[in-house]
Amino acid sequence: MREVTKEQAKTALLRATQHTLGEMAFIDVIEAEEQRDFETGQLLFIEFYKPVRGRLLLALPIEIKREIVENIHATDWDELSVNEIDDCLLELLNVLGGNFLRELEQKDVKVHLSFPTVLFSLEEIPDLDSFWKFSFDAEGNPFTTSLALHEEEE
Amino acid sequence: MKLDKIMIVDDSATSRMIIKRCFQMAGYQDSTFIEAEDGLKALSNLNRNAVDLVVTDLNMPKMDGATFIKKLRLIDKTKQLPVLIVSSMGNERLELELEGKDVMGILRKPMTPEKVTNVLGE
Repeated sequence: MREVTKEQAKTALLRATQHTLGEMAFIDVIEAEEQRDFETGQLLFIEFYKPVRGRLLLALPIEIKREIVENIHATDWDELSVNEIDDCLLELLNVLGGNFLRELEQKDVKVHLSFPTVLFSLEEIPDLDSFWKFSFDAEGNPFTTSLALHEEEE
Repeated sequence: MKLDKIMIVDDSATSRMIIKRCFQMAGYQDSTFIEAEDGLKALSNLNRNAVDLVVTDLNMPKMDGATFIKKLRLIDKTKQLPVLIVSSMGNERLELELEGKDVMGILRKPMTPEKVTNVLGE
C-alpha cells in the first residue's frame, strides 16, 4: 500500500465530506478550528477494500443527523420512519466512502466498499485507538469522521 | 430522449427517491417510475412490465448490478434495453463494455439533475 499521511487523509476526507453533504443535503462543511465535544446521535460505519483498505466511522450529533435527513427527504423529521432515517444516513455514508477514495487517489478510480452499517456503540470497534479522528463543522455543529487505513494482505 | 417508463434498481430507498427526483427535475416529470431493490426483483418485474430505461446501482445484495445487467443481456426482450449505471463505486464502464454488457452511461453518486441531462440530453 502506498503511504498515506494523516494530512493527505484529512484533506481527502474534508473534500469528500464537503462534496457529499453539499450535493446531497445542501449543508456546508468546514474543518473545525478546535475539537468540540458533542452528544453522538448517530454512529455509521463502512469498510473499503479498493483502491486501499480501511474503515471509516462517521459520528453525528442529533442536530446534523436531523438536518441531513430532512434536507434529503425534503420533509419534516416527524414524517419519517426509523427505517427511512437509517437508510438515508447509510446511503450518505456509502456515497461519502466512494468520494473519499476518489479524493484520496485524485482520479476516478474503481472503488470497492462494504455495505454501510449503523453502530450502536463505539465499543463495537475494539481498536478505535488506531483510527485518525478528524473534526469538522457543519454550519456551526461539530461532527467527526474517524479513519483507519490498513496494509494490503499478501 | 422520450422515456415513458423508467425502472430504478437500488437497495437504498433513499437513493431510489433521489434518482427519481433528479429525473423529474431533469424534465421526466411525466414518466412512470418502477422501483426494485435488487437485480432479482428487477428481473422479475421486467418479465411483467416493459420499460424504456433501467437505472441501476452496482453494489446490491442478492444480485449485484453487474450480474443483473449480464442477465438482462441474455433475455431477448431486454437484450437491447438501455441501461444507465448510478453508483458510488466508480468507473466500471470499461470493464462492463469489455464483457459485452454495453451500458449507455455511468453516473457517480451523488446523483444530480445535471448528470441526467448530460447523459440523456435536454
